[in-house]
Formats: sequence, structure tokens, C-alpha cells
Amino acid sequence: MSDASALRRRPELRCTAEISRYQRAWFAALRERVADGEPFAVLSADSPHEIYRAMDIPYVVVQWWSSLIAAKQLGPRYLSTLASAGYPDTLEQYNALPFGELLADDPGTAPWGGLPRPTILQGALSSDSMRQLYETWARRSGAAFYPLERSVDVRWKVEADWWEQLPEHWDEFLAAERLDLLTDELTGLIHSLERATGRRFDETSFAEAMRLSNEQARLNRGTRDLVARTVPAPVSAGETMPAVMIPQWHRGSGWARDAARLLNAEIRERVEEGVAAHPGERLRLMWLGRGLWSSLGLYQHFQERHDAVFVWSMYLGLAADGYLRSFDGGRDPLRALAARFVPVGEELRMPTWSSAWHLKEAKLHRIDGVVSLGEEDFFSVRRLEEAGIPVLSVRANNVDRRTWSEAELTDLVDRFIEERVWPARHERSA
Amino acid sequence: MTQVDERSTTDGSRVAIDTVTSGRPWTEPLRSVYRAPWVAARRWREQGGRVVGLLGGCAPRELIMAAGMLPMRLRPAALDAEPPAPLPDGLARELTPSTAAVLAALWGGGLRWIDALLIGRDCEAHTKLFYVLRELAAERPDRLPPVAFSDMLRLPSRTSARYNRRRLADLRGVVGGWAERSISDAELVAAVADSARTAAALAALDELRIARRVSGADALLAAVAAQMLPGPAVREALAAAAGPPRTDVVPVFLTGSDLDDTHAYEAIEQAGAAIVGEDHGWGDDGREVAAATSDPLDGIVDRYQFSARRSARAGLERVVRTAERVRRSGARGVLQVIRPDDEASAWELPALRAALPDLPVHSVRLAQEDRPALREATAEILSTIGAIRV
Ligand code: SF4
Ligand code: SF4
Repeated sequence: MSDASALRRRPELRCTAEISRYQRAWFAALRERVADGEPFAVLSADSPHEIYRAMDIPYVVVQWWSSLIAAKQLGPRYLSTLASAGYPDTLEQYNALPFGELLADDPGTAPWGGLPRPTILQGALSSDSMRQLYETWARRSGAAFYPLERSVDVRWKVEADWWEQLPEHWDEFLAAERLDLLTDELTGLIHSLERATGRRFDETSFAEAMRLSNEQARLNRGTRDLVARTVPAPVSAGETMPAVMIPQWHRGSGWARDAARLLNAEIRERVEEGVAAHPGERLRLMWLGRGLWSSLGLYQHFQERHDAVFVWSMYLGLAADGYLRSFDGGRDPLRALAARFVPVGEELRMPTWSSAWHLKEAKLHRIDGVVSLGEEDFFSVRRLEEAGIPVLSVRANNVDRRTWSEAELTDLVDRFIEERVWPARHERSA
Repeated sequence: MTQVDERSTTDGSRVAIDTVTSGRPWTEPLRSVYRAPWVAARRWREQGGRVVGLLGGCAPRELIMAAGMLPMRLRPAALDAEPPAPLPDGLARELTPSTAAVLAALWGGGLRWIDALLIGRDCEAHTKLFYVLRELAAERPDRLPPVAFSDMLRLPSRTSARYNRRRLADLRGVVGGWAERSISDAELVAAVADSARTAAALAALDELRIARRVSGADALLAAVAAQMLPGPAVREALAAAAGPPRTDVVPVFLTGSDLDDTHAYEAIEQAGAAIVGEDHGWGDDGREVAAATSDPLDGIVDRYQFSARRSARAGLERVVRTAERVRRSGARGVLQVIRPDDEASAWELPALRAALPDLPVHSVRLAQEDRPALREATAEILSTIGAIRV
């Protein structure tokens, strides 16, 4: 695999460029604020950004920054920096890349001038090594580390239709002790942040951030539904990934809500005018697992080759189904925020939930074939295959280019489309 | 941990076991439950008792004892007399080798010697196994014993302490359901006291081990068997433990992944080391025990929440406690053995080296779980020990 050959994404939407431009300007401004001595937080994707938003503490989400590192082809370099400092380079790469950048200490070659040194690190303890990784990172950077526990759904019977229940009925659908735990942790976090930064947590700003993030989630639902029911699809997954995710990292801001609205409006306009990602669309594909941020163009390659369009990725799917938590009727917005994060990850990795959701989304989007990368997907594969939708499972890590190459992957998917997707499609229409 | 399968052991190693055991009859009852736990389980059940299989070291065994049942921690390498049918390929890939072994045994109709399964949150692979079992049970409820999950959180914060108490209280009800009765406070107090007596016996064994009068392999055997046998049987065996002091061996401390394989210990010790202590999830120096508290659940929660055993889901503060254990053991070097499904230990290495600046700390990664890989890793271990001795 040669880095220079990385497939570039051809733009489909106007707003994606606008959103990306904003992101650059926002990051430049953030660097200035941090240079002026403001606190700076680096947060894992599954920690409650909305609190930092409400307190106006500048923050960057680890996973976004890691995807940028990957896009700039700097992943291998930072991983080897980790290894030569004595840290593992084959575990938690997605979380560890920015730590590798810190150790490499070479802002000249880092993306966008480099991630400023954090004063606050926050991560949910979602894996066996998250705590050690973040504590090490905190020691080496001088940041304060605020961990959050990740509790387990220990019930023996759980309902599968989380996407229906969570938005309105989260307080009954989730176990009370798990909500209590995270709500209490967040209460403590707020006190700690107030003390550490001298900033006050303002309930009104927070409720507003929660309202805006709910609005954003509703807009994303609308967008997802448009993509799902329109054939040929107005937009491909390679396009929606950045267009959805950048605003997700600004969740709770007016800009993020407006960006989601812009995206929704442009897609609606395309639907109305009959503009498609690929007018000759004959097959619709689903990308299961983390995205190939360093070669978004890869998704579009199959359009020319097979008239096959990747219409689904979990990014828009989760943005549509995973974040909405109403707190009307006097419900506590902080508990609603806890309800947003208590089940994070379970939607994607708890088989009862993930397999049901993947099937529901595949049917909604009229999917012909699924490519699954680096996922523990046994139950999803089984249910999709049972429904007549073939799945190609690839063992690789999206940000670790040592584990896959574009050439190999294209080859695999090409063959998969020819040997499995088309025959299954013919069988269904017969 | 997934270990080499002893049932497939060749005659050669069988001889090795016998030589090792000879002259130390106190290890015999420990070794037989280590090798074939189902025999002890059947005996217990024939007398009308129930057996609860524990997966992991942080499933609260005290609750099971209080309910009058026998908690037997499962060794993924010794789940049944017959090897189970393999799992469908994709399903095995979802899991680590050890959780896949447990699932294969359960799903293939094995493990019939347990009446229920309690999974502890030693690592996220256990969480995943619980999710997988729950999903499979929804399809075939008849095929699995009752299963519960113990979600003990490890952050040293009040919020986690409160959560753990609620979880443990719930679990008390579930376990009571398995025993078809409720568990009284007095029974919990008695279970904690019995655990403390066994812990004291293990602590005494630890002193013998530090004096190099008991080998690390035997100490591990005792720790593993103590998680399977009833307390009185363990204490009776340990009461007879002793041996002449050995001065020809170099004391080494073992850290890293959970290891329940006495052969691995023997391989290291036959090369001239004595493993005088360990901090992984199978070892037990008798120093982590539930305190007798007014509400017995408090002491039980504290034991698991503040345990410094096993690196998974621990923080770096554990390394400080490991360093203390190393000092107390008199080890002259530290060996870190990392197995493939261990995602956490490698992060501890730089901190461990910093905490023990005057001692060599060597790390060995086992590339695979199979026997040749273990042999190869043992060779690495030997050269590491050689380096430590210089
Ligand atoms: S496309 Fe990916 S790497 Fe580029 S700005 Fe967007 S999120 Fe970052
Ligand atoms: S990490 Fe350790 S406790 Fe967890 S499954 Fe593997 S061997 Fe067992």
C-alpha cells in the first residue's frame, strides 16, 4: 500500500466543504485561546462534551483528532513513537494516537499545527486499558484526568428496540442504578471542573446545550430517513461521514445544530431535484464498523466499478438514533445527559442491541450487501445473512494502516459484490 | 486464562508432574481439584449441595458461600473431562480464547457439574461473554444454566462504592434465588469469617514461599485450588505445607496476565528461579480479604473494589501496590508475562520500572496460546532470568 495513492473523496455536497472550513477556523481559534492560557480538555468520544460546552471550556474529541492523524497518514509514525517510549502500539490505537503525537513532540509535522497540550483529560473506562492509557497520558502531559465508570447492563432480559425507546422513555428503559451512577459522577465532575477552571457551571446554558443537541439529533433522524428511503441515494456514506461527524463533535452548540440543518436541507433539495450520489445506482451497500477516514474515496470507488453505493455508515445511523434524550415534563437535563452516555457502545457492541439495529437499518435502507471491518459482528452477520443480505467481514483496524491496504480491500469488496451481492440480489428479486 | 490443555498432555509431562509432586503429599488434594474440578463438584453435589461456577476472581464468592453453595472458580483449561465441540468460527472470534472455551463447554452441553454461573467483571472479555450468553439464551433458554454478572467497579470513588453496593445487594437476591432461599446477614458474616481463615492459611503459606520453603508452583496451585475447594479442605491441606529451604534459586516476582498454569511456573522455576510472589488474578497471598464490617456487604465490596490484583481495568496506582508486594517478597527481579488477550498489563511496564529503579523488570509477550508458543516463551523467560541473575 502506498500512502500517496490514498483514494480521495470526490465532493457530493456543498455543505461538507463549508463544514470542514468551519472546523479549520474553529481549531485555529481554539489554539489561540489555549495559547492565551485558557484551559483545554481532550475528551473521549463517549464522555459528556455537553458539560464542557455549557462551561465554555475549549475541548477536542480524541476520536476526531485521531481520524485527522489517520487522514494525514501520520498514524504509523505516532504508533512507533509510542512503542519506542515503551508503551503498547497495538492496543487502543484510536485513543492512543494523540498521546503518540504528544510524545513525538514535533508540531511542525503534526496535523493543523498540532494538538495543544491538554490541561484536562477525560475518558470513560470502556476497555481494560483505558484507565492506564489516560493516566499515563495525564502524567506525561501534566493534565488532570477525570475518569468516568462504564457500568454494565446486567439484566438477563433486555428489550432490543432501543432506538424506539431511549429518546423518550430512557428513564424506564435503562436501569436506575446505572443512571444514578453516571448522574452522580457528572455532578462530581461539574464541581471538579468549577474548581479546576474557576468557571461556573450555568444550568441555563446547560439546558440550552441539551436542547440544541436534541434538535441536532432530530435533524439527523430526518436526514437519515431521507437517505434511507430515496433510491438512488442522494448522498453516499463517504460524504455523510465528515458532514455528520464534524457537527457531532460540536454537539450542543448553535453552529452544530445549524450545520445539521444545512446538511438536511441540501439533501432534501437533492431528493426533490432528483440528484443522486450515483445516478446509475443498482446496489446499496452498508459499511459496518469504524470508517476508513484516511481513504474516504474508497467508498465511492465501487460506484464506478459496480454501480454499488455505500449508503449507510454507523456515523449518520447513530447520530440519528443514538443521541436524542427528551427531558420535557420537568425531567433533569443532567440525568438525560447521563441517559445519553450510559448505553453508549452498547448500541454497537451488545449483540442483543447491535444485531437488531443493524438489521433494522439494513431493511430501512434497502441494503443489498454489508462490508464489516474490524467488528465483533457474529450476531449481526447471522441476522443479516438470515434476512438474505450477504456480509463480508474483514479483520483490520481502521486507523492502523499496517493492518489493511486499499488495494487488498478493493479487491475483496470487488469479489464480494460479484460473487455474493449480485447473486443474493437476483435471488431476492426472483 | 486459557492454558495448555493438560488432558492432552503427553506421557512425558505426566512424569514431570509426578516427580514434582513426590515428597509433598500436601499438594495432592489441591492438584486433583486443579486437574479435574468436576470430580470435587460431583462429590459435593452427591451430598445434596449445589455448585456455582465462577468466572474470574472478582465474582464475589462470599455470597455463594453464604447461600450454602460451593463456589468453584472455573479454569478455562479444565472445564470438562471431554474436550467440547468447537464453536462456529465467527462466534469464537467474538471472544478471547478463554471465554470461548467457557462458551464452548456450556453450549456443547458440557459443564454439567455447575448449577449456575456467576461471571465477574475481571475484564471486558467477561462482559462480552455475558452479552453473548444472554443472546444465545434468548434463543435456547434450556441450554444454559442460570447466569448472572457481577459488575464491580474499580475506581476508588464514592459513586462507584455506592453503585457496587446496590449491585451486590441485587446479586444477593439472585444468588438466593439459585439456592431457593434468602441469605441472612449472619450467613454472610460466617462466609466472610471462613474466607478470612483460608486467607490466613494462604498468608502463612506465603511466608513459607518467601523463605523459599515452598515453590511458586505449589503456592499457585494452592491459590487456584483455594478458589475451588471448600475452605476446611483447603486449610487442612495447607496446614501440612512445608519443605526444606532452597538457597540455590533466585527469587523473582511475577506480574502481568492472569496465569493459572502451574507448568508455566515450573518451567520458570526449573531454570533456577523461585517465583516468590505475583499480582495477577489467580495468585493469592492471603492479603486481600473482606474485612468483618457491621454490614457484611461493605467489607465484601471493599475487597473487590480496592483489589490490586489483575491489571485489566485497574489504574496505575496498582503499580505502587505491586512494588510493595515485590519488596515484601524479597524478589531480585520482576518478570512480566503478557498473554495475547491481555490489553492492560503492557501499559504498566514503564510505571513499574520507574517504581522499582534498582530491580530488573523484564517483559515477555506470549504470541499465542498454544503449547509451542508457550515453550518458546519459556525459553525467553529463561534468558530473562539469566539476565536478572547477572
Ligand atoms: S474528513 Fe475526517 S479527517 Fe478530514 S476533517 Fe473531516 S473528520 Fe477530520
Ligand atoms: S483477560 Fe484474563 S480474565 Fe479476562 S478472559 Fe482473558 S484470561 Fe480471563
